[in-house]
Amino acid sequence: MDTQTIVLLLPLIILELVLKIICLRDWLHRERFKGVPKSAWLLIFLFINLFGPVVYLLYGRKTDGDY
Amino acid sequence: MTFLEKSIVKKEILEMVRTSRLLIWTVVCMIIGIVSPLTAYYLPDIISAFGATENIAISFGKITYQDSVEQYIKNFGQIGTIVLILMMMGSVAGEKVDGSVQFLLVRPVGTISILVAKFVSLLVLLVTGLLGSMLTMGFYTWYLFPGFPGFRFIYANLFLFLYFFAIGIITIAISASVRKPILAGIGTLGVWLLASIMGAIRSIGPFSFAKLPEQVIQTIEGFPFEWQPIVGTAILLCLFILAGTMLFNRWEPND
Amino acid sequence: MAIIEVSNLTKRYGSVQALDGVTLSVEEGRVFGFLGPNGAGKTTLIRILTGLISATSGTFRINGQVDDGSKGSFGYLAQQPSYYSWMTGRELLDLSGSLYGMEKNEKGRRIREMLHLCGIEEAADRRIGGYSGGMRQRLGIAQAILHSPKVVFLDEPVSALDPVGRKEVLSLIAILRERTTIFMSSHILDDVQRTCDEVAIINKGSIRIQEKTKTLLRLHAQPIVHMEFESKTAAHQCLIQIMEMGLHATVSDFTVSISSETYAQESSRILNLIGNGGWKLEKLEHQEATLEDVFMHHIQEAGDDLS
Repeated sequence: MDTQTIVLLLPLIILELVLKIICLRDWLHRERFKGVPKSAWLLIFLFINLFGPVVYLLYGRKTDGDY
Repeated sequence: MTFLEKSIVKKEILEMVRTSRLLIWTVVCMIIGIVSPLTAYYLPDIISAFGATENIAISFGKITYQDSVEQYIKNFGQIGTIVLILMMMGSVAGEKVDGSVQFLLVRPVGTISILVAKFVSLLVLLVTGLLGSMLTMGFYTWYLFPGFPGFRFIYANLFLFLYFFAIGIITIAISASVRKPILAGIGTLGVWLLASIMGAIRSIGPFSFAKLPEQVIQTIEGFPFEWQPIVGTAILLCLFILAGTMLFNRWEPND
Repeated sequence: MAIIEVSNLTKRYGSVQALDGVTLSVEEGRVFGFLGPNGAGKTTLIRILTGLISATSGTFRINGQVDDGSKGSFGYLAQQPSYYSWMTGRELLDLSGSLYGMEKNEKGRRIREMLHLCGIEEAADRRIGGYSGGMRQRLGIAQAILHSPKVVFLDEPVSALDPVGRKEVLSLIAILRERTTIFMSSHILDDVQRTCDEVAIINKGSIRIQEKTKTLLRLHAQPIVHMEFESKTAAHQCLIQIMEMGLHATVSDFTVSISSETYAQESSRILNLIGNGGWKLEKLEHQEATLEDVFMHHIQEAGDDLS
């Protein structure tokens, strides 16, 4: 890959990383999850690009307010 | 907007920020704005890399900014639509499930005000996201392709905005009518598919809101846009808002 | 003046008659206890009065107003209150104040006052999602009374709490009685008896009785004086002497029991008699009448199984 390609791809990688880091930070501090177990969520948002983090952030987190 | 609605709008926007919805949508939009021109630009390389092994000769016409815009519309029409539905399907139904909607309902707040506040916050969400995608898409396409009409591109995004506004309102209206977020998601997907199928029918097709993204291409090329999808969308949204408000009024907690 | 007037309210869910012609009225300034076993229709009535569900038939007025017009004049605390978990307690109160159209300075002052009164100042700027059950309930009371409503509906305000939390919330309710009319449902007799001026007992969707707590107790339950002696013999001999005076009393082991009313009238004669007999009195105890007798009576009257 030439330099131009790498530079052009860089913002994409950064944005995807931003999503994954937000997920990871949340995941580390959380004990209760919806749907699938904690470890499964890690795999989902790390290895499924874009939709993994989106689905985790929207529907994987059990709010502490739930009974 | 009344003072009352302003404070509910404030609540909705704060919720979008705290539950990271605003961030998710903006990042997704920006990613689409980068992926689309890159895909268009590198597609010949990618395909010939595969094609070479199978000994098939593939020839391409010259890749232009039009290919980039086409990718942009296609990606937004699919990924963007699904992400937006995922984000909005719980907007009312989710509050019914966890009971928090009762906080507003026992106060002197009409159901229509609650929905209006959701619509206004949807506007904020869409504008922020589309500004992000226009920024990345605009820069990449301008950098990679010659002759990109930047000003018409900005103007053309209004149709994309209208399209997502329709998707968002339909999701919220269905969410206000049903008991569970997942039902609102499935319902909106159904409406979306129907509108896409309807778009292929000659007589009523032009009125489908699924035709709105195509107007982006038309506008960038300098052609006048068609009025039919705009009128069709407006009528459809009125019906959904009306039905959503009525059914929301009839909802009762039943645990 | 009656601040809550309910007339012949019914609510039907399919074939289930949740409320069957409920009529009651609550005077301004009262602490009104709405008592009944689980599933009797308490929550259904409160939800109708707060506009969350609609009645099948019948009417009601709150502060003289009907339907949505009444919404500014009450506060409401649900049985399992759920608030936006991503908000802080202070933000929730601020939103509530705005929705009732409170003026900015007044709102700020009231929020500080409520946070202090309900003892959640420290948690005010934390997310509600992290609140404990007791804190959530106290925030629930704060949001219900922030706008100084004429009436506050509390649906089972203490039933989900541990004993410490219960005590705290009940004493908070006792403070509120000076500020507003309270309509409180409960299935815990003791709480109602200690807190409420007036009681209605509901079972199977209809009101069995509505009466002032004191009247109810006087009419249907008896306070009792227990006199405990040093020996069984003394207790029995004392009982015989009291009966000879023409009074009614009972004995069990070391204790002679007599109604408080009788005791109040005849205390000097009874004490004389004990002195003359030379029996040593170990303990003299006054037992308050309880609502439990009344409650059981009215619930069982309907032929219900209280399992």
